[in-house]
Amino acid sequence: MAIKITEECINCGACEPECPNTAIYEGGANWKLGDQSFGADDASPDGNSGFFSNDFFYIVPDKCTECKGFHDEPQCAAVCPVDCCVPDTDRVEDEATLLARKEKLDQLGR
Amino acid sequence: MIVSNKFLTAIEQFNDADFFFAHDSFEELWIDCRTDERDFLQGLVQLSVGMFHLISGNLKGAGSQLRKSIEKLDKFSPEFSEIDVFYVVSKSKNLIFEIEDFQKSDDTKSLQKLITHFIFPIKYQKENRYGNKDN
Repeated sequence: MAIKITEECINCGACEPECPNTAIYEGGANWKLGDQSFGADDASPDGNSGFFSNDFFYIVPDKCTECKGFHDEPQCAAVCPVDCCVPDTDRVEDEATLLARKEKLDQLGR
Repeated sequence: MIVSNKFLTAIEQFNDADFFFAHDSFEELWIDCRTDERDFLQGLVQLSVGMFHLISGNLKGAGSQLRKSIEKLDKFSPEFSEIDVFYVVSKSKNLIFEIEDFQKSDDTKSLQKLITHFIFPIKYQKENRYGNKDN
């Protein structure tokens, strides 16, 4: 499953540079996939919605692989001092799906 | 034993209600810490963040952070690094109760009243858990 950031986030920004997929964005900032840019009201190519936040850092499910293919554990969760990077139980995915996403991102660009 | 100038600064910031800066200072210590004291420092980060969320009106975030903080700090009770951990944990539990009560109520208490009455200091050094100076 993808990782999500809860409302406990204090916007310290520790997670953002750790993400190998650049899936983490500051609250209110547009997110990118390849050469496309997406805003708060845009549907994601994979059909995900409800993840954008104007108030705190957010993770784009289309780009989160839980660090599969890079690290043994999600790096955002490892560095978060307030433990607010948690598995998103609404977006459960198996390892094969996450690795396939990594491959796709490798080709498409992050 | 974590006591250092940065640690004392963090406590001072917390006790001055500069919770964001306190969280930052405790976090810097936590990042560098590779001993068993790491959990203690993270507990103080989360305590500071819980207070920051409280004064910002984010009660859900405040409650969650205080619960996580208690989980970590309780292991160091009653006293660690010259901090009265027992006092911090007791007061945090009380604050969580008040937050939950506030959330259930029809706003009979104002948020400001909650903040004024239930935010507490980190007691450091020679103060005992009853607030009296030992020396």
